[in-house]
Amino acid sequence: MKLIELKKISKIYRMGKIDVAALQSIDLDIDKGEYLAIMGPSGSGKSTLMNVIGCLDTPSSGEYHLTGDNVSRLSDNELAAIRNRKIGFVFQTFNLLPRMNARKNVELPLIYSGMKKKDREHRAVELLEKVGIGDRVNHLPGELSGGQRQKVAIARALANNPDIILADEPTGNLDSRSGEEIMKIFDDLNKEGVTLIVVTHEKDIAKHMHYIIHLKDGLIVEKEINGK
Amino acid sequence: MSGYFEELVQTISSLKEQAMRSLLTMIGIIVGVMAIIGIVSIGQAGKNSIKKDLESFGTNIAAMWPERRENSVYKPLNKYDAEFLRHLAFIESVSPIYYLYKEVRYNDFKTTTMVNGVNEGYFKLNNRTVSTGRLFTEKENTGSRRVCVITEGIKNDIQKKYGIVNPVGRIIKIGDFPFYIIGVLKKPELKSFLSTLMSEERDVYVPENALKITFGNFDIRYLIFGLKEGVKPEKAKNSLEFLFRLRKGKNTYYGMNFLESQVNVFTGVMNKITFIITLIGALSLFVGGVGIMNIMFISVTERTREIGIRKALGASQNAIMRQFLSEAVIISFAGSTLGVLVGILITILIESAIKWGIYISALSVVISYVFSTLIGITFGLLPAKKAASLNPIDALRYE
Ligand SMILES: Nc1ncnc2c1ncn2[C@@H]1O[C@H](COP(=O)(O)OP(=O)(O)O)[C@@H](O)[C@H]1O
Ligand SMILES: [Mg+2]
Repeated sequence: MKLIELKKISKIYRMGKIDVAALQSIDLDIDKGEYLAIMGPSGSGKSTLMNVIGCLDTPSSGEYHLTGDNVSRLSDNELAAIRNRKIGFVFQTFNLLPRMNARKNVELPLIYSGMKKKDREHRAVELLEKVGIGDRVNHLPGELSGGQRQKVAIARALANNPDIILADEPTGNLDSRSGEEIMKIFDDLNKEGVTLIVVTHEKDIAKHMHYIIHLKDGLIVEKEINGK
Repeated sequence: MSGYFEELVQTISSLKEQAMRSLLTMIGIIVGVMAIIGIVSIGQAGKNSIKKDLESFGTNIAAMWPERRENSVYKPLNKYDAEFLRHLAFIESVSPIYYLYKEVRYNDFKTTTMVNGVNEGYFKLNNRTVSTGRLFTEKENTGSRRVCVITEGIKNDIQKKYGIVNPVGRIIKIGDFPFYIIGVLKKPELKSFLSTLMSEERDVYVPENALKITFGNFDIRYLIFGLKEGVKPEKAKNSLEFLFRLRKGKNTYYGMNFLESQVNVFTGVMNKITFIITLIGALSLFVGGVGIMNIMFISVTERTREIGIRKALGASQNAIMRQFLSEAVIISFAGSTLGVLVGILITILIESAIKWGIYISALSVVISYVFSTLIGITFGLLPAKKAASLNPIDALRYE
């Protein structure tokens, strides 16, 4: 079943008088349960592609179908609801709210989906245990290591059982050991059937995925199947 | 619903973290609410105290005295003038006042004070009663009996010097003449500004005829009279001016003072002050609102990244809007609560100092609460809109 269907997706940024094409007519289908990496040099459009897939950004042209629905021309609020229910983001810089402890950070998407407080707290703790930091639920982000913060972010991304997890250089700010731990969690999630797209610079990271999409200048230049 | 509550708790805790900034933001609101509650309450307390004082007088009293003006001749009032006044249909009662400054003595105690010659009707007209003894009668007045009613001041002086608790029955000397003390006047329980018009530290009251016989026949100093109920002071003044010019001559002039018009002047001034300070309070609320808007814009900018994160996690525009609006409303609500508390405290302090009676206008509390909340919403709207319409990607990228 096709989870994601991108048809001739372009994203043009207007910089003064010059148009910058961050994405140029991208065609890409992703099935449920897939585990893929996106690689490419800096400025090749990896983040832009992730943002479009994650409904954080709308394409300048083209069509985007997510779980069968055309989401390329939805309103702000409709996109917010999709991000809340269907998408889970993991960022390079974690993007946790610094004044909230780990549990509260994980609860945020659940607040926006309207879950009751009791259920929310229970679910948040459960998720933090799942990613291996059940003993840090009441810690503030500042009291956690980078790897632990990224685990909180993963728990948060999983909160509403999204259709897809989007991770933009999730290990970019981590030492290799923490990076490996994060990848282990991703591997396990994929084995459970979660669809994941991971942007990365590192070949070692990309080895974990089923295949790699190579981007250059906003174009898909190669689809490399991992031999594993 | 629980989500709203959770957001509210978050907002409050983030405000608490920046307590100093929040407090400074609230100052405009606090001052505005304080000013409105204070002035409306104190103004109302003033009016209430006057109303109570007036009720204790019973009738609307006035005074009349001869005056020397440019191009006018001075013609004193006499007992026929008093008689004339008494017979006018709009006048309730009349009491002529004679007074002299005389030395009053009791043994070695000496004081020079105002000795008033009045008739027996004076006390009723002014709603005066005795704390001990009695007032003098019509017979004592017509019989020119040397009796007197003293005021608390002299009573206290004698008590202090000689330990005499009840001076009734003792004899004091006014000038060289002995007078029997028959009563002590109760101090009038006036709370409003009227008490300053009625100051009488050590006055002595004697029958008018006794005063005249003892110290020589002299002119009436002034007349006190009461208007019949419902008679307007201005109307009475016009009639009296006309009648007295007929009676005493074209080029005479008589000054008049009506309690009710003085009260009206006072109430008018009070209303003006209340209006002006309420306006200043409203202005302060407005400035407070602008302050809130300013701090909210700063807060939106500071939390751009947070807004981006929340949006990425699925916060709708409404949710972000709600978060920032509730922050503005909480600031103004907290501000007005502080304003109400401090305002009530200060109002009570001021009111107990000026002795107008403790009164807090509930209406002013309610209105300033509602008004400041509205201000919070109004001035929070723009920053909240700005926050809600931020592009999530730009917001996430904001450093
Ligand atoms: N908001 C923006 N405004 C203008 N240009 C942008 C914006 N975002 C990205 N770009 C441009 O689009 C191209 C792709 O950017 P991005 O997707 O962030 O690349 P990557 O993540 O692969 O490094 C770059 O040339 C970048 O400068
Ligand atoms: Mg990038």
